[in-house]
Amino acid sequence: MNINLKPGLRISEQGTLFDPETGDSYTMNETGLQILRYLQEGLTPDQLYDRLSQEFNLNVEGFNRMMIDFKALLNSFQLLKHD
Amino acid sequence: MTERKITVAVSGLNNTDNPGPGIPVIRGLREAASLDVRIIGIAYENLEPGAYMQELVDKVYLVPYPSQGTDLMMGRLLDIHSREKIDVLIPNFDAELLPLIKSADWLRNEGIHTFLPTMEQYEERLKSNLPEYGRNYGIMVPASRPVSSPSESLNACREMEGPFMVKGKFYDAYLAHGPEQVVEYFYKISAKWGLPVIIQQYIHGTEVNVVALGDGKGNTVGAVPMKKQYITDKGKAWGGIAISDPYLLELTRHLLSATKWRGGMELELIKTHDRKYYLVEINPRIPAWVYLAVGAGQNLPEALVHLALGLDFKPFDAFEVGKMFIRYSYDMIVDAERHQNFTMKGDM
Repeated sequence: MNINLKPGLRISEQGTLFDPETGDSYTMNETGLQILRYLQEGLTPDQLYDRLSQEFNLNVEGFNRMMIDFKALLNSFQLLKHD
Repeated sequence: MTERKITVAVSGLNNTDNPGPGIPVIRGLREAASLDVRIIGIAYENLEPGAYMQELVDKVYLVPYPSQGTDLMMGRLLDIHSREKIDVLIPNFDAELLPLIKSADWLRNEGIHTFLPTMEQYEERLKSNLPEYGRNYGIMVPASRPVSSPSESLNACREMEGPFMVKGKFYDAYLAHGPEQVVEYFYKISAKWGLPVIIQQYIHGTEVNVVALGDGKGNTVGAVPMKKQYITDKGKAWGGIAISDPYLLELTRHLLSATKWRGGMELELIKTHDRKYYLVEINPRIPAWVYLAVGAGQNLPEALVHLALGLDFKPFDAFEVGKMFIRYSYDMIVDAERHQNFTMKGDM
């Protein structure tokens, strides 16, 4: 499952996500921030799973479930690329 | 830097909780690298805070309200001009715009330069004409109707879904949850600002604005969109952030190009959660939050003075997204004698 972030999102050193298009700022936990950084690096879902499964105790089912929830959350905040 | 000092007269010194744009405009001019300015403040009330800001305003004159008669107002301006030799006049008070637009040629003959929209441009974007404006330029506008009586207000409520915004032709806007409240606000607004009063369907969403400057030939000299972050009970932005919203910039360029807008402008829009944009108002002047644009890299007051004097100004092509403004109130201590002299003499 691909997650295409809206271009231009900024992550500050303090761990705040800023959307320059809307002016909204978001705070999130370290795990969420790490996933966003990986997504901004352009990691594929497989690469993302490899990275996260090394850092956290995750199986494929757990990873997929988490990514569905995470994508829905990002979508609700309009942080995904829109056409 | 220009070779000589430019004398700029600026109105809208009412830095209250419903602030005029005068002081932010002056701050922009004072910081402009290309200008050396002398600022003449134009005040309509003897307690307009900007009149007492000596570090920003070199001299201030009291002027009669336009509602007291255009001849009276223009006569006073001419009197001030005879003493101060005004090069550029930047009006920031809505009620004075129409008489000054009508008198732009006369002012120019007297040596006072303005950079105002044409009469057609001014009238086309009036609140009462906004639905037609939206149709002409392909922008969504909330259902709205100008009304001149309580019964017309009630009829307007039947024609659209509530809640409603009840707006004065120049200033003031109130959210009304039902027809009874609409009538209450109709009386309140019409007593203060006259008729018509505008009843507009309320749109839920985020308030986003754009400050822009058009060169009158269809080009956008500068434009900065802003999201209101902190809104007062009068609906004024007390804090805001410069945003990069591409739709807002595209819309601004489209409007300035299609209308060949001349002068400063503020677009007020509501962005709904499903990313639809509704144009709720166009102000034909620089807004009070213009200093955000200056802080973000577009000194629009500086550009306006250049254009008014017929000088070239290279359009801005960028601004710093994420710059914020946070407004504050500040108590000045003033001697009563100064205030009394200003009231009696009419200048300070």
